[in-house]
Amino acid sequence: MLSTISGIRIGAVAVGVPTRWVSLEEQFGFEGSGMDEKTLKKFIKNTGVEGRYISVEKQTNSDLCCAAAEKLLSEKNIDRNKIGVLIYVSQTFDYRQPATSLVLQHRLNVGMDCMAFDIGLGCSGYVYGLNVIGSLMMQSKAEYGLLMCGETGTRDIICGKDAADNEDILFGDAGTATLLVRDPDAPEMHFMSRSDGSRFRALIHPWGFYRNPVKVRDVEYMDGISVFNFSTEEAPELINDLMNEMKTSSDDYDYLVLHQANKLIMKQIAKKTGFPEEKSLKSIDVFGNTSSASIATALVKNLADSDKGRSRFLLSGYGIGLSWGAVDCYIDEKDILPLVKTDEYFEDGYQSIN
Amino acid sequence: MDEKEKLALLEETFDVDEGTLSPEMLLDDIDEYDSMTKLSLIVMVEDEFGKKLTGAEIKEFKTVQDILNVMV
Repeated sequence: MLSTISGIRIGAVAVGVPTRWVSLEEQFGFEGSGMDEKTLKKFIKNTGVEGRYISVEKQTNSDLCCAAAEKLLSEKNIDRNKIGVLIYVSQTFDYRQPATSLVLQHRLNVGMDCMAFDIGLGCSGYVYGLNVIGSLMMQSKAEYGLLMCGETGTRDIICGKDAADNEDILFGDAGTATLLVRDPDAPEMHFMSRSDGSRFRALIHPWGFYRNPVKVRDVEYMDGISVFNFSTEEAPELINDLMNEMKTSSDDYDYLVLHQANKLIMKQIAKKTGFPEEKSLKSIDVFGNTSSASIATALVKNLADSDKGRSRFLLSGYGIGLSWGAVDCYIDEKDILPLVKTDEYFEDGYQSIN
Repeated sequence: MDEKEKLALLEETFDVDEGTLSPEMLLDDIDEYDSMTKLSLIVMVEDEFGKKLTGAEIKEFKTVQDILNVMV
């Protein structure tokens, strides 16, 4: 489904990570992952992950998002009473209730004239979040929108159906903040979005909520081959469909920014959509797969130092749900801020009750 | 592509030395045949032979020959 946002632009992008970065080889040496050295080397070669940021014990993803947002709001000198929409996209929420976005609104001193709510999506979440926030801004008088996305992926143990799988070392922690700004001169943003709930079992963490309250195992399941085939078939198809609608080709874009799933998947998608490898921005080497944060991590890793002006991007997220989307949009490279590092966490007053 | 060329392609995909694989070998006996290799196998078969292997098909593979059979 195609949708168009007009009069709204991406005004700034920031990413927050914990200070601790651990290489896979170091982790392998210290903790032993049940992997021999050869398997680990092959994992690094195929996935592209060399290490990832790992949050401190009490840190949640909202802490990382909060630091990124704080940096962005102060840098751009934003009147926090004019943020009319605040959305937190994640699957690692602070509480079962209430929505984490409300806690973030409070911590960031955002005024009450604001719609704040959460969206529970994974790897497609960044593109979906931009779409939802842009739509709500178009229908309202909101001057600014604040999108925060990300995951503390190192907190979940991923269990593949193949006993040899070690997908849990694929994931890293990162929280992001993206500012959307009302601007009558903004070029349109065009989205293509798809969902297929019939494949909800392909990636699932079924325990500990209302359907299966007892935590039988604290793991997330991934049917690696199904997810791989989905990612390398349906993501490129959606990107090609969007480019057909827009009557564009890879030549019309400065950058392709894919969800950083793994190197093999990204390479296949770039190939099938006609993008040369050098246009496809990567951050998986340093950040790992960070779910809905990954597109912003690729922007920050590659373009935070750029003083180039406005460039045209094709962003695409695809994964758990299954859910996938892409957007054709413009970002001024000077609005992509340097990486924010923090080990701070929110003292909510409840942490002593354990 | 003859069998020798197909085996060479598989050896590259499995990341094993040249001449290591033979058709009758059981995949269970090949240490390198893990989940990562299966993904590389999907990519290779799609790129070279234009077909997408599914998880169910891969599960049915018992020997190197079973893979060679789909490489047409």
